[in-house]
Amino acid sequence: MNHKLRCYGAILAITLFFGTKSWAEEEKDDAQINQEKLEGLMEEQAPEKYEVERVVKPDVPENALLVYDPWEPMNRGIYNFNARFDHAIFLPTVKGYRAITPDIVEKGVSNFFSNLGEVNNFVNNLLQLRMKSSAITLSRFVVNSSIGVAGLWDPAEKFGMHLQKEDFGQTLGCWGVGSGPYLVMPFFGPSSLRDVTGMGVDYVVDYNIDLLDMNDDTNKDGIRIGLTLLDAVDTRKNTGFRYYETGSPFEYELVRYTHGQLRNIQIEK
Amino acid sequence: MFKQLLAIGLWIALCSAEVFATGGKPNAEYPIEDRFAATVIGTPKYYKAELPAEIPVKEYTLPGLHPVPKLFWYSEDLRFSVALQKGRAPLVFNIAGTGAGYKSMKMLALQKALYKAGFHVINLSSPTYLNFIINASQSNLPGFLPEDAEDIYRVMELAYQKIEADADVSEFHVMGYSLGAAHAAFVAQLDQSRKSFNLQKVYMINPPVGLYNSVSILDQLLDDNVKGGVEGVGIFLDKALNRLAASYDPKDGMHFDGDFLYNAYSSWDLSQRGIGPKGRSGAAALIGTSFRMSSANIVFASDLMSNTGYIIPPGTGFGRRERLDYYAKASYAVRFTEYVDQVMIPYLQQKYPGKSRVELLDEASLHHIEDFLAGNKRVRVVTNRDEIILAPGELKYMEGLLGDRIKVFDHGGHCGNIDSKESVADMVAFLKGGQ
Repeated sequence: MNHKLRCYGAILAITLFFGTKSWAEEEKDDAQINQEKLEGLMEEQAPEKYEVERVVKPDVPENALLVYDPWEPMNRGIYNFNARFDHAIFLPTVKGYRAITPDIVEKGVSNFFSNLGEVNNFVNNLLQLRMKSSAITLSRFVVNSSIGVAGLWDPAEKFGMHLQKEDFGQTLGCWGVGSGPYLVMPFFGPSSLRDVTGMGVDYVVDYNIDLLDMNDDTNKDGIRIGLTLLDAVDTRKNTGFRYYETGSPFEYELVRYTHGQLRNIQIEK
Repeated sequence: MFKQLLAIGLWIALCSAEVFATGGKPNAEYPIEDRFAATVIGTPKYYKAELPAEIPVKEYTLPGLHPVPKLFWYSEDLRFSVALQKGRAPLVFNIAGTGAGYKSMKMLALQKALYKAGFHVINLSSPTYLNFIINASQSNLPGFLPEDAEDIYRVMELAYQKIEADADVSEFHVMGYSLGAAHAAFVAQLDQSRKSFNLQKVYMINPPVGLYNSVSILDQLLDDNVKGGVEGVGIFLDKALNRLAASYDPKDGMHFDGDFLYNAYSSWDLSQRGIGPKGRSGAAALIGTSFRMSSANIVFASDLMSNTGYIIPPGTGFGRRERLDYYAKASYAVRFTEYVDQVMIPYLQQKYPGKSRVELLDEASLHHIEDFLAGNKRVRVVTNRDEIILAPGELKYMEGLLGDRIKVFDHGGHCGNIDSKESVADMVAFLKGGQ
């Protein structure tokens, strides 16, 4: 057993060794992200007692975590509102929903909304000229709406057709539109001017395609509100983030920074 | 590229071969031999102890000791969590490591393991965790073990009062990992005179010996492994996040207490890990950065709470919507050793006149409670041969002090093997033994 383990370790070591090259390569081509500004800020490294003030002078030109956030006071207000709403209403609702709903139904609800979302995924994949992803999305929609019984199941996933999530914010990003100012949306959380615009466009597309034939229904408003609320609860259920549980006083800054990074990656992918 | 794929393929094949050979999950020792990688990756799935997916846990709060500044409006009241058995059982107080809260991933794993083994469990945040600094630290300057122990002991008493009516307790134990392990020992020593609990057993997972030594080592990891030291952290984080984002699942949420970066590393594929130029290791850089993020939280929060003026100019008033990025930047620039030398030591020397720096640092180490630890059958330590937070000679010191009451695993780095089968088995066996 023991020599087997040694082998095992050796193989792991070899794998790590082959990894050497990419790490080294990466070290060489550092992205020069505002390196000057960082250096300017950090010039007076190793602060003595009371000297840290020098680093926090309000006239340091650019903010440190490097996100464009001109509406910061408003954003922070909304962030705090979201935290309270989450704590008082949203999470208790999710908890209640989970308590009364069997897991299999919860899964069905998630799949159902995910399937409705394929319309937007398809449109945006097409707009980004991702033909393969568009084809996959279309097939997923057809398979899941039929064999998957109106999208309650996701058999397409089992056939190797994975979800190709794209929204109009990503489409804009793909064609070179910058994120614009950071924006925290009430209820929705971190976003940006570009992505909020994208959400609006996606909503209009959804509304006009009218997959569920709701626009002609006499109870359309009631149904729409009900579905929107269920969608919101389902989305919250599937999101692990909890406000102010990161243990950092700099949570707002870190979330802002991380959110921007994640969006950039989604756009590049 | 092909070579890397081949290597990964081989590795996976071997894993599977191992699984098939033993007809199921391998019943083997912890497999990761690189101490930094082990610390970051933790225990691979097959080596993890089997734990329940969910256990009945209730959260409670205790009123804070200090008025909470507006900026920290979201952190009113001290929080902790409790998992209770239906019948009579021993109760374990479980203390988190540096900068970690009662809900951190390691704490949840330990809570599940203990609950599964039949213990009542109270999970407490580390005195270095934001919520604890704000609400339960007398001095607001955590890190001096004797004072931390007083704070924890007070919280333990109040926490137990809260649940006393619902819990049928046969006896009390205390345990912790990393800094929490040192805290557990100090708390147990304090209990000898206070006798509120008559603590029966003390279980310490990967404790530091001299706190200052451990902190120096962790500070140094960032300087040695992040290109350009702290100035390079921004760029380094960009890269780390890039990889995290590639496989980020919103279901996992976000934690900035260390787990977060560890997740980032785990999401890199194997070809991107390894040792870079000048011996820089990606894993070591992450550990250094993660520690610096934790220490920045401590430096800023304790400065704001105690008005030392170290980071925040005296007289600064913060509202709820204050812009903090400059303060974040400044806090990240501070080495934790600097904070100890420039804030902690002066504060302690003022409080305990006549004590030298060396004496105070010695009190913040296991040396200070040596007499309690030596020959005490109720204490057990587990650590690893390749532990990263021990200075040269410190492992030997513990072995000499504890004899057969210390268990040293070969691999695991710092707490990397905390939820492995062997580790959990050792913990349960010790806490259950002699009942």
